[in-house]
Amino acid sequence: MCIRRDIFWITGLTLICLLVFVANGFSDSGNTDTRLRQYRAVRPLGMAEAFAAIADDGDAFYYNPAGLANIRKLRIDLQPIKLIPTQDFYDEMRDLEQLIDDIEAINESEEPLEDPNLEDERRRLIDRMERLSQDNLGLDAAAPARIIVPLHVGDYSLAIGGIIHGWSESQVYIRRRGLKWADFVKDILDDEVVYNIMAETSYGGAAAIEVPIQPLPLELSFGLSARRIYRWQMDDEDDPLGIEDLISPDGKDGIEGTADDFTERYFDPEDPWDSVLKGKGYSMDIGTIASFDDIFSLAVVLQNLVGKIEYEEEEDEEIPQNLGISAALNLAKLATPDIPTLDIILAAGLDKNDETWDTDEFIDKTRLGLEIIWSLPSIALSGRIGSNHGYLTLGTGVQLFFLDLDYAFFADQGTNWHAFSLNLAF
Amino acid sequence: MMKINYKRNILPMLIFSSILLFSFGCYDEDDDLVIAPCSTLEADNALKQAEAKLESAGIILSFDEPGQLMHPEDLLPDPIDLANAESQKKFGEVIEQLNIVLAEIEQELQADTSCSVSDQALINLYLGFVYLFDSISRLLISDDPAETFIVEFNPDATDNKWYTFDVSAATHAKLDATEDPLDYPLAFTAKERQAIIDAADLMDDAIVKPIAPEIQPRLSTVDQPPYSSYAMWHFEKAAELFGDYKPDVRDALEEFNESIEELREWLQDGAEGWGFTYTLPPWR
Repeated sequence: MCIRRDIFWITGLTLICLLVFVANGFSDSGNTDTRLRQYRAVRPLGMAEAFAAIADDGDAFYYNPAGLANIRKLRIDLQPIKLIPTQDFYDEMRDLEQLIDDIEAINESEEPLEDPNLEDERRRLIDRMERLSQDNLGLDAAAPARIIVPLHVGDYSLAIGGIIHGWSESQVYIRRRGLKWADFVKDILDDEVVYNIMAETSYGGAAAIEVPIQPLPLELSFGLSARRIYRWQMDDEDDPLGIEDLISPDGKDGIEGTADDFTERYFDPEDPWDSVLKGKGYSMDIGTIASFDDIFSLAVVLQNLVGKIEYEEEEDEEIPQNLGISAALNLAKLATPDIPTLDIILAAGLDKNDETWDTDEFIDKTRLGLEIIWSLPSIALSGRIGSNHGYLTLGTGVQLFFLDLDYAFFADQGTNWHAFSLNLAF
Repeated sequence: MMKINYKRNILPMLIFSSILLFSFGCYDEDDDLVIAPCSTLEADNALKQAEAKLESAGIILSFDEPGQLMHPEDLLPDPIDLANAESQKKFGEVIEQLNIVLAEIEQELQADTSCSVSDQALINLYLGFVYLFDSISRLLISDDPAETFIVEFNPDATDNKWYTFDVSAATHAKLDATEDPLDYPLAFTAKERQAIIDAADLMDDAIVKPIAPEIQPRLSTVDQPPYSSYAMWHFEKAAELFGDYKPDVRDALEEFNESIEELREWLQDGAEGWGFTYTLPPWR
């Protein structure tokens, strides 16, 4: 049976455009940037994480487990370095010492607000706070290790894999409250410092199968991944830390040792570990990919189909579900004949999160990405660009033998991120 | 030889590029310039206007660093800066705007008890200052061309007497030369008597009248909107609210208020000594 390749690019492009235009029609640019405690990989970040229909490497564990079935040979990934700091984090780290010195000097004083010798420190701290009030300090760090074992039974491809990783995500920012004063000192008096510091280790497995649908040039893949999660978390989202709590550590009553003390409500600066929430949990993703002649693919992924973290001293937390629909089209495969050294992948995706299920929001996020890969026997170069719900993403990568180095710039509603990773793939 | 169908590849690329171009944006700090919780658009706008009007009146109530919260006296201007009619007219407008701000944020505080009281405390402090400045300004601009009221500024005073009030030697001489105490108010011009009545109302909500019934004027010109309150009330309210924010700041403000109370006493003693009745309303 002969099906013209034109049908794929016309169908693919139509579907991708439909995804984007339908999403733009229904989405609200003011929506929140919900992160599902998801692992983020640098290559997908460069293309706005429109990756679920591509999912052709170890990152498929988290983006779409069905993609594991596309991996044709044994693969071991070790990623000793993956850092995703925000631009602000990078800027602030450059003169951190001065800030620490100033805070220490102020903390050591019995009259931190009145001591005339601390005027310079207070002034510098306020200048710094003014800068920080525009900043969003975030750092995402991870060290995953993965193994994927492909199996072939007749026309069927199977893959099983295991993953273990540790990662942390920390974000601190100042949230404005109250009147907008011209004078920053007055403006900040009622602001809040929001912090969310989380570290996680997990281990898990995944399985995927690819089934050819004869006589069509169509392959269907199904995948499932599950993981056990250990999480440590410290945040003040339920009771945000006000500037007044910082300057009045004994609380409004001014009496040390009462319930409104800083150490009772937040953490003991000398022993913050004591206030860390410790939880255990699990999560499971399922996904599918329909691939037409390796040119066009369509994917549906349900992340955190089931997912929960049980804390020792707090209420259990359901991990929000996320439904993603994605499409990808490899434009380079449309050339006649095929260009084996080149891939030009256009991808788009839509996300719907169950936290906004009951709202009028039809789509939470639209993703659009383009990746160009030029592959030679021992080296591959790639460039990426994308639109993360209207925010720019860029990426580049070099693959040299077993070394894989990637960089991505990623903007979202909250801030701009820079991501770096070094991956050893065998 | 490999043949690439450019038409087929260029078209999708063009469409894709167009979509990207129309959808791009980076996170920008301006994205956050919205009304913050615990405030309203009306409150922010009114505050902006109040601050602009104060600045145009030559008054800058600015904190360079948080330690200045403990020293509100550093915000006191030189009385020379208050002694002009243009500034005095603006104080009424500032009070009007600050009252709008206060009403708005008090509503927000009622709706959301997690809102901080710092804005409410600061607006009350501002209102206290503006009522005080208006009061001083009215006295100082009432005595042209001769100088009757003398307000001295001592920013480095160690006894907290940053402002000291007196009347001129010529006025003292006039008062001394007046035989009947009921005629003492006549040592002042009608405009000066009006300034005394208004200043006491602005400072203390006091009702001041010449004892002699035939001496005019007898009524305050600041007993109508926007003048719905008075300096002492706002200063005391600011201290009380800062007590909920940081007790140290309340203590510093209470000390400051004591020195303002001395000014108030000077005005009361002066008015009573110059042939006026000085009556505090029953709610005081």
